[in-house]
Order: sequence, then structure tokens, then C-alpha cells
Amino acid sequence: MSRSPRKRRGRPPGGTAPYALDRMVRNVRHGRFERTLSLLTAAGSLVTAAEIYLEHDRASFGNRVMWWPVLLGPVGAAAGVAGFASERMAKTALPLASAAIAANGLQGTYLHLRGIAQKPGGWSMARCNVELGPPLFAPLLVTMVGGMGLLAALLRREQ
Amino acid sequence: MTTPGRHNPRFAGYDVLAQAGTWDAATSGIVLSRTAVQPDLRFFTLAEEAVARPLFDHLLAQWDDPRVPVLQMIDARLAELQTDGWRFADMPEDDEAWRRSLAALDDDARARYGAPFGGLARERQAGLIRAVRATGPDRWHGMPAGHVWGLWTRYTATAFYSHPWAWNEIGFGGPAYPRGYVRLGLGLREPWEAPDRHPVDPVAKSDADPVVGRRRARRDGWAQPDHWAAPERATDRRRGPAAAVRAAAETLRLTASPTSRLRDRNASPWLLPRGDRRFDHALVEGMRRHDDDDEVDLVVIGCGAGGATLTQRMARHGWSVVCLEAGPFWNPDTDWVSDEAGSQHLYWTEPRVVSGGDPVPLGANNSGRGVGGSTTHFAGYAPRFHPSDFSTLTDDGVGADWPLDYEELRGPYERIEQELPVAGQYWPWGAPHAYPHAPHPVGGNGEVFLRGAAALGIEARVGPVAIANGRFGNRPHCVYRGFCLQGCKVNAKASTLITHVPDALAHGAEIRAQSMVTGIELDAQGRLATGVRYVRDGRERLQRARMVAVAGYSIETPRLLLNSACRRFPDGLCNDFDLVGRYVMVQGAPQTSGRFTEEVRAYKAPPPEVSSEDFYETDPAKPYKRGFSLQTVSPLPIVWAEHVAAQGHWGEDLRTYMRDYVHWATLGALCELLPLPDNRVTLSQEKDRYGLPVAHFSYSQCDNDRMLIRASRTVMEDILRAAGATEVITINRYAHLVGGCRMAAGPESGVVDADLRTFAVPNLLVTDGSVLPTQGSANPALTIMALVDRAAGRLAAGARGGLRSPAGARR
Repeated sequence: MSRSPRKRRGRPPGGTAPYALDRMVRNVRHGRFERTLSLLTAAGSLVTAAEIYLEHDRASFGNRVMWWPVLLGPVGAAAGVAGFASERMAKTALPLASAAIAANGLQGTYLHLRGIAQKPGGWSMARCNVELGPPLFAPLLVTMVGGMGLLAALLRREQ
Repeated sequence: MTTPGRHNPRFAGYDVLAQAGTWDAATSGIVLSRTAVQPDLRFFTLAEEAVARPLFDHLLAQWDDPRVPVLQMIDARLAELQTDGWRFADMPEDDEAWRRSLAALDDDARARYGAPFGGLARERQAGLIRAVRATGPDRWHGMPAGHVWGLWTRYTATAFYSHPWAWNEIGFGGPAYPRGYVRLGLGLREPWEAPDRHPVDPVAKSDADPVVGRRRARRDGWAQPDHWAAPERATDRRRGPAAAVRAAAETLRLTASPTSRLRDRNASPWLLPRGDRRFDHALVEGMRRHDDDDEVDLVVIGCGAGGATLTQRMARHGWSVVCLEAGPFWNPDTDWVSDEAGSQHLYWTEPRVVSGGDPVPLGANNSGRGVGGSTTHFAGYAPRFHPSDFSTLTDDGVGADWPLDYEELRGPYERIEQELPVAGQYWPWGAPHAYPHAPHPVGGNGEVFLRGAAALGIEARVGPVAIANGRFGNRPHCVYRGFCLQGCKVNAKASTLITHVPDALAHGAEIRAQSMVTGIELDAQGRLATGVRYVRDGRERLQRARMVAVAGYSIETPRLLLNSACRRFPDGLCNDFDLVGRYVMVQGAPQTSGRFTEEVRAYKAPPPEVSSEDFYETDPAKPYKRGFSLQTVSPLPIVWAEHVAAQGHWGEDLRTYMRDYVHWATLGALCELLPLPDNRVTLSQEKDRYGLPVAHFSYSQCDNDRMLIRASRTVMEDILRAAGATEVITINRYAHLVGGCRMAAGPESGVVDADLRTFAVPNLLVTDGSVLPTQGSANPALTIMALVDRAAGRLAAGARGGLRSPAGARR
């Protein structure tokens, strides 16, 4: 799981929970899982960026905008790790990067929609073109990763 | 669900016509008209009809109604003169050949049985037909029987397998635009495609039947021969982590580099419409138009691979350019169809005569017509030449040396590859290089090739094809519909119509379609070209120009130069050393098909897909020089029928093979046949409709050529067997045309120099495939465009100033 007792950073372990698992449950119950979610955002950014690289490479980066989500991956990862390490970063860099990622996902959804529409036959052959064209819902998964980071920034920090 | 004769055990319930709703209007119109009531006969007389009708029934084994109206379809073709144009020197024109051969068959019937052919019993008719086929190359009623047989089978198979009922019988998917294919690969089917219910090899099953063709494959008894033990390989350069890193880095460089640089050079893909239309006609309407009296900087003759590239490049450099094209300005939406038989108009079908020891049929795979030229219907394979191609005479003692080397074309190759764009895996052969677009997904035919090659240790790669794999400007991604050779209605496959013409128009070039050039004019002293004569709307005109570039390809370019003879050049323009029209080359392109238990459905995915150049270079262990490359080719039904018919199959045999269509995979080789002086274009006695002598193309192979073709055929058969084919068949054919005005270091050995300028007339260029001194085993289009790119750069670097006044002193 995410934290070990060693990483307590001097603060008294809130109340009477000696075990990490108990502490985690209590943190979650009190809306305190900023660091965990930051780290998850970092991991999610990297994984999605890697997958997007492969998919976009298969489509030859025909539109150079297709590089953006690939480049935003490491940015999200860095911001996530920074948010994990520092509360200040979790309230500044992380929401900024996450917002960019979420926006990029929306942009990608628009571009994928446009790509499907511009396939021969367009929406009149929706089934064929959605299957053959750019994946319609994939960019929204990127938005979800960005949303995770934004949510992390809003949360309280673990004790 | 109609099939010819209403019997169809194999694809029961399959109806291609149920898909008509997913076809575009132009295609639906032409395909559905075949199922409508056919017009009355206009060409065949009553007597000819009485022979033709039973003859066609025999050739296609059509005994029951409903019949495909082959008689009416062929009649319409001949009445409207929709012929291939070319003819063998020992045969009359097609229409006349039909009349004579039908009369001859009737004569045979009367001579042997004393009754007209139409009145004979079916067995007797079959006997007479079989006798014609058995006559082979010998003469039959004054014509070579083999050519008559070819004429009969070509026309009947084309008509029959262009009919949707026949497609139902063979499980073919039919037209595929705008809907393409989603499920590519062995054994995969779209939801609407019917499986083959009796996937047993109909030939292997009837093993005792001696009638059906040579069956060569024996999977059990097959042992690995030794001929690929020695394909020359640069294994050190191609394998290992260092090679992988280099390949990845070079690919990354291409896919990550900004497109702005490309756009500054050639904005064509961004000038095409985004919607469902494929060409922006505002570009044509707003095109700059010159008067005939305007002395333009450059007039280009022919708008194909070379002509369109030169037009675009020079227009970009600010030259005033007029490009004269004999054919129409295509509108892909309405002029092109997703149909084989309906695409005849893409080929150059003006009359031509072929002869020689190995006469080369012309048309589909070596000519083009209209703006875009043959690139509108080329397969799109775009391999580079190898560095060794530029010095075959020095290295191997055959062919000719080029007046430039590979390094001088490296830059042009890269530029053109980005502009097309070319998709493919990292290329390890020749000078290794990456491609700007990723390799396409592989269909059934490609899978077979990869599997067979892997089993034999032959390296095969996906690509390189000039088909966008992903968005490219406003050009969409390929939809894998398989009709690359019929003109790409998607705009995914490159043709100069979409890769160079839009940018040329946007930069002030004029492309004057329907303008057939009849001659090149020189000044009074015969030193400089002053313009070209051309016919448009039935009137001859003269376009004045300060510089002229001929780009009519290997037959028409020499013909134009020879037809432009004048006082200074009595034997034809630039023909002081009797070199114009000589050293014309074709590539030996045997095709081998293999029968597989799985459904291959080769009509899906682009026909050009997987390729190997393991056998490209001279192998010292072999008795022949130079080599060949291997590529997938995926014939659609009509071409496949020609394949089967070329094996000698007709009637029920033909139909049996054809019903097996979805199980066959086909590979093609390109063999580097050597340039020979007697393989040449000359002027025939025959005149065309402009009153100009037509081209006569004589071609014969040499021993090296024959050995190469045989070797490539063996390798292809072995690959297919290794992939699991239960039967293989091979046909010999040719592909591409180059040479005829070759480039050389000096005027005694060539017509043009390395900058594509003719030695004899300094402001006359030849900018097409005819300048190639040798042809390698690569498809020539990319190299033609690269040579023109280079020449255009040289031209722009200062030549225009030097030639301002044709009437004045030279230089």
C-alpha cells in the first residue's frame, strides 16, 4: 500500500492508530489522501502516456498535436511526485499540470470526434468509422487522470 | 443472392448487392447497371452473335439461367471502342480480331462438320474450342492462336467477373467505398461477409482428375531447397541493439519533426478539402491561365509522377509554368469508382503496337492518363534504389553506370518520402533508412508472406508504401478497402494529383488538361526549343515557352521526340546518336499464387504491403547478375481470373478456381531485366487520330533476364509452400517501364545529363522514367520523383537566367 509508518514526517500519528492500514482507513474517512492520489496521478500519467505513444505512433503522429498527450505524461508524473513530496507542490504544480492534462483529454476527444467525422462516410457509417477511426473514448481516460490530480489537490493531506 | 445459374454451395446466402447502400454513387451507378437490362447488340452481327454466344458459354461454363450477360457486355465494350489500345504486331485491332476469330471458328465448324458453329452439339463445339487452345503459338487462320485465345479469355473473364452475381459466387466483398474493411488478416471476416462453407481445395480433392492444371505443391514431401542459403545480407548492419537504436532514433526524428518545414516546401495535403470531397475545385477554377502567345518560363508535357513534381517545384520557385496533359483533370469523387472493370479509363488506351521475342502488353500496369498520370492507379510501393544500382556496369559488368550516385539522391528521396508520405518499417536494405509513417496493419496476404519468409529465414518487412497511415494534412487515414489500383477515392494513397498538383495550382501553375502535345518546336537554327504544338478541342495550337520538359513516360516521350523531327534533327529530336527510344526496360514481374486452407481474402488491405529485398543484389554464387525483390500483390477478381486463365484454365476449370478465390494469396517479384539497345520504341506505319505515327515497342529478354525470372519464381513458390500452400501457380508478366531517353555522362551514350537536360537542346529536359539508365528491382515512381526534385533544384539554382531569349544567341 501507499505508506509505511516510517514516512510520518515528525507529525504525531493522529490519535491511537498504531497500524498503517488503520491510519490509512482513517485518513480516507477524513478525506486525507492527497499524497496517495498524487502518486496515483503520477503513475496514471505515465501509463497513459506510454499507451498513447504506441497508439499515436501507429497513426504516424500524422497531426503533430498527437505529441501533446505524450509530452504531458512526464509532466503529470513529475507534478504527481512533487505533490506527493511537498504540500505546496500539491496545491500549485499538481492542479496546474492536472488541469492541462484534463483539458488535453477534452481536446483529444474533440479531435477524435473530428477524425471519425472526416473518415469516408463520416457519421452515416458510424459503426464502421468508430471502430476503424481514432478511439472515441480513449481521450476521456486522459481527462480522468487529470481529474484525479485535480481531486488530489483539493484533498486534505495524510496524517 | 443471385449467382450465375443459381448454384452456389460455397457462400450460400451471401449477397454483395445487399451492401449497395454502403457504396458511393459513382460506383453504385456503374455496378448496378450491370444487373439491369442490357442494351441491344451494336457491334456483333447476327452471324457473329451465333458464334459468340455459345463460345462465351463454353469459355465460362455458363449453362443455366440467369446468365451474366457477357455477350452484351463485350458487345458494348467493342461498340464503344473501350479496348486496351495496344495490339500485338501480328494481330489486328481488338474489334477486327474479334470479327476475324469468330468467323474463323465458324469456318472450322463448317469445314469439319459441315454446319455452322452455333448449330453443333455442345461436345463438338467444345472440341473445336479446345483445338484452338491446343494450337498454342502456331498460326490459326492467319493469327497466332495463343493471342486469339488471350483475347477471348481476357474479354470474357473481365466481363463475367465484373458482375455482382459472379462476386456472390466467389465470396468477393465488392466495392468498398466509403465503407472500408475493419477486420484484416487470415480467417477474419466482416460481420456481413459469409464464410466459405466448403473450404476444401477443389483441385487437390479431385486428385485423379488430370484436366486441372499443374499442381506443384507437395507439402509433405517438401524439403527446404538451398537457394536462399546465400541471399546476400548485411546482417551486421541490420541486427543487434545498435541497429535497433539507430532505427528508433531515425524514426523518431521523422515523426517528431515539425510539419511546418514540409508545409513550406509543399502544402498540397493542406490544400485538399477536409470533408467528403477529395479535391478542391476552387483551385482549378482559380487556376492561372496563360495565353498560347505568353512565353511561359516552362512548359511541361505530361502531368504524372515526373511532370507534376517538376510543375510544383518550379511554380514554387516563381516560374510561370504550363503543364499540358493529354487526359482529363480527374475528380476522384465522380470519375473514379471502387470497381475493377470500371477503371479502364485510368490507363492510356491510345493505339500502340508491341512486338519482339517477348512482347510486353501495355495498359493497366505501365501507363497512365489524366492529371496524376499512372500514380493515380499505381500500387504505391515506394522503395528507394540501392546504392549499387548506380554503378552496375562497373561493379557487375552489366547494365549502365548512372552519371550520379546514390548520395546525390538521398536528400531528394527523403523529401519525396515525406511529401507522399511513405509508410513502412525501418528499411534495412540498400542504404538503411526510416520512413515518416508507421507500417500499415497487415492483411491475410501479407501474413502469409511474413509466415513463409520467417520459415525460410528470409527477411521481410512491412512497407514501404505511399499510403498515409494516419492523418496527413487534410488527407485521411487509409480505410483498407483494397482498390488501390483503381484510384484511391479516400485520398490516403499518394498520387501527384493530390501530392503536388494542389500546391502547384496554389502557386500559379497552369495545368491544361485534354491537351495532347503533337510536337516540339525549335528555333530556325534548331538550337533551342521555343514551344510545343498541341491539340485541344480538335484545334492545333502552339504554346510558346522558354524551356520545355517532356514527361510522357517511356513510350510517349521517345515517340514525341521522334515525331518532332526537323531539319536539324532529321531522325528525331535529340537523336543524333540513335539513342532516343533505345534501352527501354520492363521489370520481369512473375506472380505466384498459393492456395491456403484459411480464408486469405486478399482483396482487403492495400495490395502493396509486405516486401523483401534479400535477393536484390548480385549474388556471386549465382549464374546471373543483379537480382529481384519480392512483394505482396493482391489481385482483385478480374486480375485473378486472368491469372487462372493464363494457366490455361477455361470453362468449368476456370469457374472452379475462381470459386476458391478467397483462399489464395499472391506474391509478385520485380526482376531487374537488363537494358538492351534493341528493346526500343520506334514509329509504326500506323497513325493515331491526330494523324501521328503510333509507337511500336519491341521487346526481347536476354539470358540473364530469363534466369532471374526463373529464380524469383522458385523463391516465391518456396515461400508460399513454406507458409502452408497446398497448391501454387505462377504466371509470367511484366511491370513498369523505364528507359528510352537514358541519362548518361555524355551525348554518345545518353540523351540527357544528370540534370535531365538533353545534350542536344539545352533548354529541353526529359523529366520522367525514360531517363533511367537501369531499373533496379524497385518500383520506379519514387526514384523518378527524386530525380526530378534534384533536377528542379538545379534548374532553380540559376539556369533560367541563362536561357532567356530563345531567338537570340545561345548563353
